[in-house]
Amino acid sequence: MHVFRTLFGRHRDRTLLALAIAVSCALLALDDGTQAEIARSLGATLYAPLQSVVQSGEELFVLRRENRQLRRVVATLNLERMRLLQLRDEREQMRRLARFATERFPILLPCEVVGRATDTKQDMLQLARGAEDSVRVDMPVTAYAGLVGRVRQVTHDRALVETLMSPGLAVSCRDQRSNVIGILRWLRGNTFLLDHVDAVEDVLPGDPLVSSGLGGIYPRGIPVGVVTRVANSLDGLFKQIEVRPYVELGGVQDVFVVRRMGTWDDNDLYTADDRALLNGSLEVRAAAKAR
Amino acid sequence: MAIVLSIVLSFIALGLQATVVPHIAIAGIRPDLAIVLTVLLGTARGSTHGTVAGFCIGLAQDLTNPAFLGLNALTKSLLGFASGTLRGHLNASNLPMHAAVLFLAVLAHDLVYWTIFTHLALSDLFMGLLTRSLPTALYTALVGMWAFIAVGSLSGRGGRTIGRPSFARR
Repeated sequence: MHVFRTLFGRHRDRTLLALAIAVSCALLALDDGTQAEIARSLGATLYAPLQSVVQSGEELFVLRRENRQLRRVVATLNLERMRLLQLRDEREQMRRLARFATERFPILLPCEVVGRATDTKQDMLQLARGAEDSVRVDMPVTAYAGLVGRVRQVTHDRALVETLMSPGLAVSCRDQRSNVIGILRWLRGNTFLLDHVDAVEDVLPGDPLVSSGLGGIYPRGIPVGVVTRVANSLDGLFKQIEVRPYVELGGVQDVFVVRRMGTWDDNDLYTADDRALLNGSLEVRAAAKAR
Repeated sequence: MAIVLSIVLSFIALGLQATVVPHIAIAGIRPDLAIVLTVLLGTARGSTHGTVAGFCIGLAQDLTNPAFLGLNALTKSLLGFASGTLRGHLNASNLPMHAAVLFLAVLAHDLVYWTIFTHLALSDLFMGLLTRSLPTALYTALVGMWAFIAVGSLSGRGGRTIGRPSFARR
């Protein structure tokens, strides 16, 4: 009793500091899964009311305009899709004749961003999808315009995404014009560096960059960014290439997790609802033309 | 009353950190309002309050990034305790002094943070301190010193010390 009184009376500040350090160290020592579970359950209680108010406010202003815009885009894309399907069939036939490997493309899972790390050291997004939606660690994440990052942690209904702006995250990219390959890393703000490109390689400002598919995490061909500046390094061995990403990573709200790579023969590309929307948008377009 | 005020301030600071602060980032460098609040509460209320506030604010930050759950709680507890020892020694109207305190607070906080985060990889540690912590410390000092002035003037302590001198309690 005397010890307790001494600790929490006379030395209260030091005792609390020791307790805080002990609890923090205990939390740090937990495994990733337990950490994520604790954060999810506590975070849902603490942040959910605040986030729902903020998001409802934003959606009120944005959704109506976005919906109108999307309908127009879907109608246009649907027409373009019809044309491309014809070209695809011809191309597939040619590839089969030449005995090329079957082409694959990403099957996407749309996800809403429900949280963002307030930590200034790492850039993380929290998604309202988790293991129950087949999201797994290391799955790539994209937005409409291009690559966002990869899934770092997953609980049953939440996923934590490490964005390209996190220090240490590197993506192998290919210059779409010249096929030169380099490693993309975050530099500062919205600026990235394309490393390990020899001084003699052909890279020019304005060149689009896509993921190379090397490394095994990011599939080949996902748009990443555009080259903004090219210079030679001080030692003259490598190029110093600055890149601006296609995605505005600071304000991204809707993203897509690449669940797996599919082929054109996959049946689950569009749900029944998607098909209804596509057919509906064609009718809207036809009616608009008729007017 | 002080606890309720601290909780409200913590919610406001973390809310602003997540919503407004990203929009005032300069080349990706953002002021760290969580550190400002921890130092503010520590210097205004003492080591005990600073430690508890630092731990809670840090833990709330960790919940948004559970990859290192406990790291911010640890660093901000230490920061809250250290800033609590400054209680009574800061002049409420001395702007440069507040800026200096915040600048050093961010650097000290980040030194502990990067040490654990990088597992003592010295090149990463120094790179983190140089490229992120130093500019963040400058920006935080510039933004945060006004918070000290605001609290000083709100509590009618303009020109006087923030909080009671620590020896006055004994």
